[in-house]
Amino acid sequence: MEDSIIIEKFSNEKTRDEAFNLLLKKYQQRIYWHVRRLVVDHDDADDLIQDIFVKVWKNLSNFRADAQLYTWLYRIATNECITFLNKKKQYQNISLDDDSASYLAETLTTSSYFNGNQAQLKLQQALLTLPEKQRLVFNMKYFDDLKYEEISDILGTSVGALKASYHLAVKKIEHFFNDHD
Amino acid sequence: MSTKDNRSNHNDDLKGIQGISINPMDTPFIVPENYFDFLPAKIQRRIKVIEDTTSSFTLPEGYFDSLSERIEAKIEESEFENAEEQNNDLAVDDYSFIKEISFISELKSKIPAAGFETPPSYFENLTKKIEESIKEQVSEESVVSIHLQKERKVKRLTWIGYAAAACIAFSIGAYAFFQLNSVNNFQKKLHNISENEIVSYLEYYTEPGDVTNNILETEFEGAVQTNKAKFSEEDIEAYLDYSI
Repeated sequence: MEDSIIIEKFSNEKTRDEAFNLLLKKYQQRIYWHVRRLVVDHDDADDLIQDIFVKVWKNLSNFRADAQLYTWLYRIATNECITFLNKKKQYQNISLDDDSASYLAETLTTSSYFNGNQAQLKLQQALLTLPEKQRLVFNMKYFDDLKYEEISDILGTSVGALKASYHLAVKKIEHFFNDHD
Repeated sequence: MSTKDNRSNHNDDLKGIQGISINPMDTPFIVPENYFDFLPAKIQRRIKVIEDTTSSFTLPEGYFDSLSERIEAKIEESEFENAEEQNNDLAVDDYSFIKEISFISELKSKIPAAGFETPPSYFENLTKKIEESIKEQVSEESVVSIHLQKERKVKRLTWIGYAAAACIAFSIGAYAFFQLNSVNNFQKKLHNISENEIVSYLEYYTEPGDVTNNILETEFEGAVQTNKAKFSEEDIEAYLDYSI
C-alpha cells in the first residue's frame, strides 16, 4: 500500500482506523527493530514502540506530504529513543556528557531476548562503545540500508557529517574487533 | 653598462615624471656611508650561509616520495575530526572508501543481523496492543477534556461568585461611606450651631417626657447649667405655665 493512500485514508474520519492499521502493519516491525537496536532491552522497546505510534496517530494529520512517511516515522522514533536513553542515564547517575552507551552493555548480556552468537555479541558490544550519533548512523546504514540522504532527513544532519560519523564508527569497530580477537 | 650610463638612464626616466627632481642626490632618503660598497659582499655571505645550512641536513630515504601521501592522510584525519565536530561536509577518499567497504561487506557476511529476539507472536499482537493504547489514550483524553470543561465551569462560577462578592462589598462600602459622610455633615452642622441655640430650640419644641429631650438634656447638661443663671425664676415659671 502506497504511503500517500494511507495518508489520504487517514485524513478521512471514516477510514482513519483502517488507514492506521495499514500503517502499523507496514512499519511496525521496521520501527521496532530500529528502536530495539538503540535501547537494546525488549521491554523498553515495547513501551517505546507504543508511545511512538500513539504519537504518530496524534500527529499524522499534520504530516506534510513533501516528506517521506518512513523518514518521519524514523525521526519520531529516534527522538523518543534519545529522550528515553537520556532519562535512563540520569536515572543511573551517568553524566549526559558521557556519549557512549556502555551502560547498556549489561542489559545486552542479561537480556533473555538476545540470542546472538559470539560475533553478533561482539558487534553489539563494539557499537555500545560508540558515541550516540555514530551508533545511530551505523545502525541505520548497516542494518536498515538507509542512504545518507535519508539519514540526513531523519537526523537533520548534513550528509558530509554523516559520512564522517559512519567512517569513524567503522574505524572504531574495526579497532574493537582487532583488539578483541 | 657603466655607473654613469645607469645614472643617465635613471635621469631620463625621471624626466617624464612631473615634480620629481632629476638629480638623485636631491631625494630625501640617505643610506649609511659606503653602503653600496659593502652590499655585494653582504649578499654573497647570505647566499653562502643558505647553501651551507641546506647541505648539512639529511633526509630519510624516500622522504619526499611518501610526503604527499602522509600529508593527505593527515588532512583526511583532521577533516573527519572537524566534520564530526562542526558538521561540515567532507569527502572520503577512494582508498579509505574501498577499505571501509571491504571491512563492512566482510562484517555483513559474518554478522547479517543484530541477534536480538522478540517474545513469540510478538508482532502478531503488537498492532492490537498499539490500537488499544491509542483507544486508552483517546478515552483518557476525553475524560480529561470533560474534567477540564467542568473545571472551567467551576472556575467560571467561582469568577462570577467573586464578581458578585466584589459588587456587594462595593455597595456596602459605598453605603457606609455616604452614611459616614452624612453623619459627618450632621456633626459639622451641629458644630456650627451654638449650644444656646440648641437649648432654646429644645425648650420651645420638645414635649415633656420626650426621650430625646432627656438625652439632650443630659448631653447639654453643662450648657444648661451654665445658662441657668441667665433665666430668672419668673421666666422659668412662665415657661412652665406655658408648657403645661
